[in-house]
Amino acid sequence: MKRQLELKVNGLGYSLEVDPHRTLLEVIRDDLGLTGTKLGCGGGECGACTVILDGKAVKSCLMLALDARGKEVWTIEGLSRGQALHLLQQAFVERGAIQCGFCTSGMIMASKALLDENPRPSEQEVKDSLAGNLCRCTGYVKIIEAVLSVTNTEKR
Amino acid sequence: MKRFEILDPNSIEETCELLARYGEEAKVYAGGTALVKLMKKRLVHPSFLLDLKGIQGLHFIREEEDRLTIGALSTLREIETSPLVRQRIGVLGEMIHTIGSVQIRNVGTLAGNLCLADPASDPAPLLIALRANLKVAGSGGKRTIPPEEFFSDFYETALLPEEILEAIEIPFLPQHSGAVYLKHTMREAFDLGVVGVAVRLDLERKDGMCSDVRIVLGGVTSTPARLQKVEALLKGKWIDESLIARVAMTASGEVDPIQDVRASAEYRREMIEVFVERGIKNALERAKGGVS
Amino acid sequence: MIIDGEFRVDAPIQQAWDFLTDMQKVASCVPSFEKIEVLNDQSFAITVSQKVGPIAVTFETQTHFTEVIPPNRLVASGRGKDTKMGSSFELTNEIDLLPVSEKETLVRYKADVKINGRLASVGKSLIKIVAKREVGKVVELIQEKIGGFSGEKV
Repeated sequence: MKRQLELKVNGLGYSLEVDPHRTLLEVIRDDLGLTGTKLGCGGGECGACTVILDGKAVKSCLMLALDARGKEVWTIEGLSRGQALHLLQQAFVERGAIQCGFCTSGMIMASKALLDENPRPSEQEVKDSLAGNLCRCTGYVKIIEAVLSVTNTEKR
Repeated sequence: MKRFEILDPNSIEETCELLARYGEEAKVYAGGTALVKLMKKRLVHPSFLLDLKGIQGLHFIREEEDRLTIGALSTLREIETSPLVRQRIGVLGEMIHTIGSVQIRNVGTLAGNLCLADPASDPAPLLIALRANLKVAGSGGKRTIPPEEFFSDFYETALLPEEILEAIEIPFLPQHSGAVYLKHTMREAFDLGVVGVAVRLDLERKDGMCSDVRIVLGGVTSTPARLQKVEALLKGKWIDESLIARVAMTASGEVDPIQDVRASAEYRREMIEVFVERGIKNALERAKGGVS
Repeated sequence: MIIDGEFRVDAPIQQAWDFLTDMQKVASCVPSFEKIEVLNDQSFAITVSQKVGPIAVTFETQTHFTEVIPPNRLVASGRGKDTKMGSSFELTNEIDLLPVSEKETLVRYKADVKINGRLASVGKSLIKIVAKREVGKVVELIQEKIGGFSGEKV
């Protein structure tokens, strides 16, 4: 039986009717058309599905959509303003931290959540925050450098 | 996933009623990371999910006279970053930091981890070492279960079908006590431990003899294993490096480690010795230095 | 995976043979056993169920004897399915009986089990541990029921 789901995504309010078995990831991608967040392993291990829920990085593939009711979600689409990339996105592009791009939105959202809480993390703190995000292409070095290069001067 | 309904009980009583009514067809959840994963894999198929997050009075971290009490809905991340935990039982935060990733800890609860009773659970051995108490509530009333009796088998706890874990109580370490949790993983982070070792050491006074000790292993047997023979070799003795080394060598003889995709039984045996030795040394240093 | 071992029973070989070829009797020694339907004297439909924590399986199996050499060798072959779980298994169990004395028999078993489908994703090691444990229980019950107990457990 479908239930009411009211939540905010990237600053906009939505009122949807969803089945209880739908995950937050499915609703974001299929119902809201925000496909920047990716389905990787589907089991909460690769982090490609990372979004920010009420200020905290979470894995949306393991979250029932209805558990996000009344909450605020930020996805990768919410970072850029029109054509203007967020500093983090810019840093990833400039530093070569993107190869196939599949892990990228998860990496960026996990990093964004970190920087919102801790604007000047140490390298170890960056690594700790990204422990739940896998990348098969880059070897992580450029990703970590990109995150460290951003000192979050622009607050969202 | 199989289709199901989500129910929102407002109280523990209501939860127990629903559990009684639906039996095996209902499962409680808070963060749900483990449950949703099992359901996606179609290994469990409840028809009703009971969302505990609407129940008042279960989401807290409180300091009482001689202990910390943590409510069932407190997330791992909240506990890990709590100033109370950092000040009073630092080892708890250290252990939680080794669990999964930030994203999982933001959603998963300590209570949920315990109730899943994964043999490689990190909190399980540490809570036994710290002499924690698990507060359980059910239709029959409330009771307290010591953690060493809570884990009965792989993914099985002593909870009765209509009971839920309400809160976890962790006594503060007295002076001249030290505790540590070491976890050996194949990768630096995220992995389930091949061996987890929790050691808690009490000295009768600074630089004194060992008055009490608890050494508990996780990830090597179906439930956490207390190394009581090793403990007996240390208790009442003045502990030095050579005693620790001798004692650690006997550690692996006390358990029959499992073999699985992460490691062979043989490898686990070797690592048990290594990490028990390190664990006792670290706990001793902490006991002497007064850091909890 | 292979689960093998041996155990002794307090009974002469013919008695042990009669017991082990009587599926109703053997079924009473299997804790996870739910029901049995005898299709003919060589084939049976058996339902077993097992629980590990929250994960419960119910296998409906078809078993039949493929080799029957009284009183020494019995080979049973079976396949089972749990549709809820989307899992199935195939099992071949070789049982050899050897007389130890007039009143004692050695039973050797070798079970080759293949598990397919979702259950296999749980972790073969966990399955093996649980399976070995169940086999241990079956062995104990067989020893008890075959006629007095003083047999060694292996």
